[in-house]
Amino acid sequence: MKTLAIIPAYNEEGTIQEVVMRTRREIPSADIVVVNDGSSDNTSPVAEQTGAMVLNLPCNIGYGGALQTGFRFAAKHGYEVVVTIDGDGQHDPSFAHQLMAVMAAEQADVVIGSRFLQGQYQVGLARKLAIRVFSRMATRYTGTTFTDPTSGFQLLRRRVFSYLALRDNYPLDYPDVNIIMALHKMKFKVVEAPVRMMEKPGGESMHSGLKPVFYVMRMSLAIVMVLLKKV
Amino acid sequence: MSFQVRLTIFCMGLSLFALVLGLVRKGRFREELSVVWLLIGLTAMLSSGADVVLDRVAFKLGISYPPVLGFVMLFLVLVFGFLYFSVVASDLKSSLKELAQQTALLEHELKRLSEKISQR
Repeated sequence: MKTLAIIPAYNEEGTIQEVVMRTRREIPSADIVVVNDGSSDNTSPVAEQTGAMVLNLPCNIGYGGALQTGFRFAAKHGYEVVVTIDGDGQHDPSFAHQLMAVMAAEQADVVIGSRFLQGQYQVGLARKLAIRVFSRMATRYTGTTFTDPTSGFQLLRRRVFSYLALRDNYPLDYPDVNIIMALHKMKFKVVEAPVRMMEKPGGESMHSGLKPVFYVMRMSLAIVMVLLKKV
Repeated sequence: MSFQVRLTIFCMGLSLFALVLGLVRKGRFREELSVVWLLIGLTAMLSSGADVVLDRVAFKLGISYPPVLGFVMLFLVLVFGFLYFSVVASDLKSSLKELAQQTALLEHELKRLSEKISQR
């Protein structure tokens, strides 16, 4: 299967080379595209030096927007499957094979790599609570158990990423429970598989201050919209 | 309401109206977006003489202090104004995303074609 590894990156000059090299080593059959989300550092030239294809967004449009750019690229160039891997080194590319095996075994359209199915990944209490609440919502709605709906380590078939590549079918910030529910509504099969993830070193926490409150409000609204929108 | 107060309120509304018109004339404010602010300026001008109507409506609604009704109406006008501009901002964000993605894809395609040409 023609496979593309999409690596969204924002100011990841310190990790992008390693991520690309590991991805190439672990998934040698896959083409690699780094989506540089308007980085102000040397993410783009470093990525280009690795020999990966690089798409340079002229301004920062967000993680989801960067991923969608990768989907558009994949749809345009005839890829059958994409695997999304974060540019910060959190995801272990060797587990892509696990995702592929589960996709084949379960005839799934999307396989989400969950860091909680087997691992000892630690998260803060507020985030843990939010993940648990929204995971349960996704589980009840789809009938499939989800433990890590916010995971960016995913494998998607062409019919799914072609749909997500269109206009506003993908959020600009972080794909979450709402995407899982929307895909389920579209009759796509979404499952999880255990993967290993590294703790994100340093950097500004996206879960500090009032952000968890806004996250819960935003996600609640997104879920209501999925339920109300016509497929 | 005294004549001086009415005149002051009217002049404030007129100033806002004139300011917005001036910005549109200079090309610094798009016409279609300025309509809301022109309406606010016009409302402010009309409100200088609205106390007659406001007093009657307020008493009919059981509001013992009529200026409260004025403030409520002003608040509603501003809220709907902000809502309108939020919708505009939302549209712009979507358009910006589309443009950014197209630019990235086209830049890559251009680079690929340039490399192909230079290899000949």
